[in-house]
Amino acid sequence: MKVKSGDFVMPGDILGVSEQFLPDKWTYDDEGQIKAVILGTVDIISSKKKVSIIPSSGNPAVVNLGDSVYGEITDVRGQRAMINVQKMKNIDRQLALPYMATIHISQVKKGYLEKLTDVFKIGDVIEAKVSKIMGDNLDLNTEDKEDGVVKAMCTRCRAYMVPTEKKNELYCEVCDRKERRKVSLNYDCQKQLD
Amino acid sequence: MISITKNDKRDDGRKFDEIRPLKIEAGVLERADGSAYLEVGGNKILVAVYGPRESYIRRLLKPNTGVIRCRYNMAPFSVDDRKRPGPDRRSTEISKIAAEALRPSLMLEGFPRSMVDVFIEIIEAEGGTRCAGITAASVALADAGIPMKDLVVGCAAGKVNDEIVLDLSEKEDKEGQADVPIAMMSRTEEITLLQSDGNLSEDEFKKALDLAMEGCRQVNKVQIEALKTKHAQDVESES
Repeated sequence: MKVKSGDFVMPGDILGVSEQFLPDKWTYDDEGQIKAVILGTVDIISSKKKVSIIPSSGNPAVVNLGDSVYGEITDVRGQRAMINVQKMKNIDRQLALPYMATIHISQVKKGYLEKLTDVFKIGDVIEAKVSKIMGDNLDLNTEDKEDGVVKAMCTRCRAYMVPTEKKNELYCEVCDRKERRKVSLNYDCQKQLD
Repeated sequence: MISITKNDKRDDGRKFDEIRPLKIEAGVLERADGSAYLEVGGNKILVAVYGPRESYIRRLLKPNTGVIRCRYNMAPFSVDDRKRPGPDRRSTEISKIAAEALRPSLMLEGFPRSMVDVFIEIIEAEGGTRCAGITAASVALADAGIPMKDLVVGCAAGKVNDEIVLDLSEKEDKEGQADVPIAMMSRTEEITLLQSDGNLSEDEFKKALDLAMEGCRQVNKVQIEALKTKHAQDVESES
């Protein structure tokens, strides 16, 4: 059986033998035969001798390097903040693995940052890019403008805060308090309904 | 008592080796990660698949691989007499065997400490729901894009009025002498589920098994067709 790029295959379809290609994404080597594991179209890269499947349906939400993710700050230490990763941006599917992430003080913003508590507080929801993957442990980066805190609560009264004219500052309307954060360009400014 | 004359027809007019009319549709639910709807004879089955996802039932999770959990549930209105809702002995058993029938086809090694949830809802029941449920669940799993080696397909054979017949209806199941539901991987024909209820001689059992496997091959064609109509179209419209 000959397959070519663009062919529609089912899980278990034989794409070739292991002498022909190296199995890449969504393919596997079953005792010398390269098979598809997912519904989709075949993609053969002749120069690299690689065969992969482009999924036609949704596929499990696994993060890749450079993906944008949303997470909640669970702890802020001296050099690192711990983040519970909740969702990938633009993908409406629950994450396949229980990802735990950290962000180092040097990865938060460009330039020098003295205290991590000046940019993140426990409970903040952040948007960040994945910079390193070790199994289900991730390293994140928020140096870009659109990355940073997208939703934060006041540390005194726990009301949602709104951004101010000043960069990297949030204001609590309930207790008239200003707090410092690394505010994302995508900060959620919608008024909360009671 | 039904009177089956000694011709080659069954009570509902089918031949001994004929399956009931079968219809499968993939990707019917919007919010589920994968789904399928199946109708065979009087059965109507809806399957939803979620995951792989994080689960809070820590004791079920495995550190080296993902796990699958099934829930087989019959709607109270799915049978003639109202069925008391909630899990019972039968549906607990079918949930377990369905998960075990589907597991060998899945490649969940890439998703340690996560769980795939399969919900098999019987909307109308008319015999052979466990096989039909597994068949539909496999289509839903493929629709969800979960890595799998093969589709799993289920079909039953049995003995009614001393004849070995394929794909028993509810009436044949109740009044017949034996029922052999099986599930197998469609390509390799590895059997992942084999149950037997009633009395069969060794030869009869072999004949029933062969017949059920032949039924599986027929059902598999419909499974593939369902996935193709849903997904091959998407591919064409994109290009």
